[in-house]
Amino acid sequence: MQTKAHFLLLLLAVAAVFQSCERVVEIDDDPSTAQLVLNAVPVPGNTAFVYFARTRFFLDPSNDQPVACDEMHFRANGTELQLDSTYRCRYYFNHTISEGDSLDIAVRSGERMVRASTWVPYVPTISDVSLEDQTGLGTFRFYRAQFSFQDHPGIREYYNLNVTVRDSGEKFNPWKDKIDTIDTVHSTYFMLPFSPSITSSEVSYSIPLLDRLYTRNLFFDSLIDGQHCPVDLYILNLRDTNEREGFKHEYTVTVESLTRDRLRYIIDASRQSSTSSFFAEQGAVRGNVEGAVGLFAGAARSTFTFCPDTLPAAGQSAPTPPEPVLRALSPKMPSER
Amino acid sequence: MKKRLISLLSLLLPLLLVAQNATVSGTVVDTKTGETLIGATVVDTRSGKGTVTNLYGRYSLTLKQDSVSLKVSFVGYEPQAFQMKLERNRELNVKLTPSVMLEEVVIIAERAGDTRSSQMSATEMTMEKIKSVPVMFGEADLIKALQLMPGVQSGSEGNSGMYVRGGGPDENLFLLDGVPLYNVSHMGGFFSAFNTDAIKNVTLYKGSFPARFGGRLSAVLDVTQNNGNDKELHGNLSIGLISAKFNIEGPIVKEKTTFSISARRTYAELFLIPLIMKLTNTGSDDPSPDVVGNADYEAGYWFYDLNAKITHKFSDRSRLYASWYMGDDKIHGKVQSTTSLNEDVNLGFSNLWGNMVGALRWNYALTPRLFMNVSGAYTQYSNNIEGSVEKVAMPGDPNASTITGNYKSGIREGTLRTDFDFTPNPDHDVKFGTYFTRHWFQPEVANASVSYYDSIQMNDRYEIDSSIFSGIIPANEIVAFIEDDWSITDAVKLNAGLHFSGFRVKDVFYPSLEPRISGRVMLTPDLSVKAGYAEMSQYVHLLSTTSVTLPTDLWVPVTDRIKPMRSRQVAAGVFYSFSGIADFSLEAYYKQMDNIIEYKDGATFFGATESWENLVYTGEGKSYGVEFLVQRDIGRLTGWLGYTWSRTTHLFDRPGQVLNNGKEFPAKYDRRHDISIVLSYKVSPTIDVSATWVFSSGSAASLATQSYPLAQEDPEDYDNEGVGVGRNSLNVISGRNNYRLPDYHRLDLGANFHRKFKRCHRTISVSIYNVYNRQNPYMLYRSRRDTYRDYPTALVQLSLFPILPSVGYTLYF
Repeated sequence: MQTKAHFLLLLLAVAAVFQSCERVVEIDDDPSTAQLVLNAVPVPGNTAFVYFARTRFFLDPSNDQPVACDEMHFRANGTELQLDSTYRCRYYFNHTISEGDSLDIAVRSGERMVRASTWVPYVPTISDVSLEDQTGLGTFRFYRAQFSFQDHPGIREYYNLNVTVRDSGEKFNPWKDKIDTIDTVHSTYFMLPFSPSITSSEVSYSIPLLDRLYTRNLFFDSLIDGQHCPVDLYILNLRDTNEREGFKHEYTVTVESLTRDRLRYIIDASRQSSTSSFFAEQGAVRGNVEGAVGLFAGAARSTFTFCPDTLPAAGQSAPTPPEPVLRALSPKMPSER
Repeated sequence: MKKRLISLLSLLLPLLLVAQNATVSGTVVDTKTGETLIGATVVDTRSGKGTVTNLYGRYSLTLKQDSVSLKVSFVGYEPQAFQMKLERNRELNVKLTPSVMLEEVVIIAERAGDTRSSQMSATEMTMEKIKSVPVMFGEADLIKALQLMPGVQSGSEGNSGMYVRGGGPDENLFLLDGVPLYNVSHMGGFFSAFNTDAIKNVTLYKGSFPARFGGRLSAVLDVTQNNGNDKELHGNLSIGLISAKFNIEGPIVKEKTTFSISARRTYAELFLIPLIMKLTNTGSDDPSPDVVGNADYEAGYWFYDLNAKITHKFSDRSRLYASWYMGDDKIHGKVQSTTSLNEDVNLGFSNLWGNMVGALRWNYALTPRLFMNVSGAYTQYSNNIEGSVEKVAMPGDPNASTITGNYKSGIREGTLRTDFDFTPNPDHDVKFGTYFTRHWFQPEVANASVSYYDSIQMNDRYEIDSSIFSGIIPANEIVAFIEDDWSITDAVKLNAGLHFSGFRVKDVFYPSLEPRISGRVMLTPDLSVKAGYAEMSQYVHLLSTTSVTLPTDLWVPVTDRIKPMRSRQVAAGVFYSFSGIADFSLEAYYKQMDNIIEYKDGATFFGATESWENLVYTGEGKSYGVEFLVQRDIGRLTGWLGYTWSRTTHLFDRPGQVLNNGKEFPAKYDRRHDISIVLSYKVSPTIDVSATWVFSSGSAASLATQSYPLAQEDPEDYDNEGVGVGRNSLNVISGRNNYRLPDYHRLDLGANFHRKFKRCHRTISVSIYNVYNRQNPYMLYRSRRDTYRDYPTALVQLSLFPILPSVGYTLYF
């Protein structure tokens, strides 16, 4: 009893010492440092939409910071679009985005002008998907995904390969309706690329040692002129020790075609997000909007989803090498801005 | 051969040919211990000519063949006088007796940085001075004492890094008996690697570098170890709050061969680790590790260092020194847990890092005027991280798996060196020499393996082995230098020299010729003005993730893309000795640095997927400031007051290497004001007390106060944006190091209680660190104080050390 009391006292003393080591630093909002924000990521099939606001003090909990919009001109392929509706800082236009659209925008807020332009990349065509479950009885699950997609001739495009996973969670929660990022879900995974075409990996997260072997985003720009690109991925997923019977998960493989501005933005944003600690200097995120922070850049993607339950077990089926299939593509492409 | 060498030197330096002169030379030692005294003054009071002993206690004074009256003195010792008729060269070895207390001026010293020396921007630190400063955890610390001098700043609370005149911690050359030491701290920087019991003399050069030093931009710390008592066995044993140490020294062959051994080890883990284990074990009430959810922890941390030196005196003119240093830190942990009914998982981690330094040195006085020093040295720093995850095969799940990984980095180097001290006449003290260093850089080796084992079928089911080996990068460095400390007149003295270095790595050769010059003019016997100019080059970089010293910091050589860093520094100052009671100095400096490196935005080398060269940019920097120092070394009240005003900025605007939009920004360690007051008072022969107060302006940090939403395809995604550091929000970075942390200040108090016994004496040291419990900034972070909201609600400052009392016990025998 006496030992416990001593230990309690020691704990209290330690807690008091370390509690006293933290204090809140008073910092005031300086409105003069606020900047305008303009965001738009036009994707084929979506309604044209722009987010226009101002930056907020970082301790301010409110989501949107409206700012006066005196004029907004949004043009697609040289034609001005009609504003359909507005909701808080969101501006919707009467136009459905298509592959190859050339877009530009000009906004006036008081005496401040904001301008940006972009184009919408073409959707990559995925074919010849072959999947295999190579999981043993160990701590990891291994899935092999082989597929191919086709680049467009005469234009330099940028791609991102990404895999997201959603699962039923350790407490058997229903699957989340929407997966924003892989970090918000229970599973973690890595990819081992074996495709000779995929040569650069500019963004990676987490585990320092393994980052050199595995990555979560693969960016590359080495595909040109309609080449058929075979991809061979090993997806490695840590089996959590808290998983129980009935655990389910689902993988989505995404091939995203990007404009150069969006590629740069994603890389910068990922770096800023992954360097919130004091171990690295946070850097600014490069946008392409003149007179404001933010991004106005198109993207297009193709995905396929698989559930491991439906895959053949290891050794039961050999993966089939993808057959190159060339698709007839539009010979005329807008140039990268 | 010897005559040929002398003839050659005579041809090269005609100024050496002085007729009608004779030389008196010898060694100055402590009469009780036989320890050589560095910087003792030898003066002919008739002619006013004088010199000081070198690093090996040796002096040489050439005078006219006449009657001379020599006075030999050293701080803390009774001076001795000699009258003689100097008709030919003479060997005069002097033994000085320590004085009880210096109440009056008894010396005409010429120590680095004082009024009479041509050297400026230098500080000599005695062990007595270092031990008089109140300390943290009861452990006297050389680096922390130096951080109290003007022009020297600490990186962060309690850290042993030194930031000298705007330079980074990798821009300091730490020499232990002339051999570079690469990792100078223990325990993540809270303790320096120098055991004060093993040290005899310390000199810090912040500028106006003598030509014999090179290889770093900002500072040289020259540390000399004790030779050892040549009369009888002595030693001491100290026990502090978290470490213990001992020092023992004595003769192997009386007055011929001596030894000195010092060792230190921490025992912090004895009470820290059990506490951490107790706090982290949150399993069920049944403490057995076999119960699901429970875990068995093992962890430890220790550091040690060992200094050893053997000195052999062949004759009064010839000595051999063998010195050795090694020090390691290790942190390790193991967790054995039962995570489910049929699964045991073992996690293991260890990180071992440290230095090893060995040197063999031979001194020989070729002639009374020419002293030769030949040495061979080896130094290495290594860091080894190992980790493993092992799943143990259990009934019902017979498969075992193991993931292991390790990461190694380090640097090794071997040096051969020859240098000479030549004193042709009292007006010249020439030092020249050359050395060759072979470096082996091993920036990183990483291995990882994953294996599965089926214990029923007895076979490996799956295995991945991979390794990333950046290889050993060899590099050669050759250096030659010459300098002359020239007394042009009694009032004017000049130290001029040249330092040439060449560095070859991967077929790239970088040469550098660096002029060094400094001089002083005595305006009155107590007042002098000095000025100096020095150029320096640096061929190694330290890749570091934070301002905190971590074992993951990585030494890398220059490459064909990353050029050597260069600096040019000019300094000028006024020095005044007030009746020998107190010394005043006021110095101003301006330093330009070229090819300094900074990480790209968002980059950190540890765990990076690309070469370190791709993670950094090169640019330039400048630093300027004014330093004021008043210090008193004699009497019952001793201490110093130092003040520094300085400004350090960096500019990265080279094509493709732009930071901060190409605009100048403050360096992370830029601090406008820095004040240190150190006082020590001898209350009685058995009690002395001390106090230290430090103040410095807040250091710079990058802080984004504005944020905005990440660009989304779906308008609804803006509703779940979150604010601040949330994944869907970005920060507006208005500029690097745009924010100032709160000011830093602290008061420390200490007292030493001495008591003599028949055969020994003891000292009990009591100190209180941070007496008024100031919460000094260590770092700032955004805190989600409200757990129900996924965004920061406060900017929080973390402080490291509150009020910390400590006690130490030392027994001298």
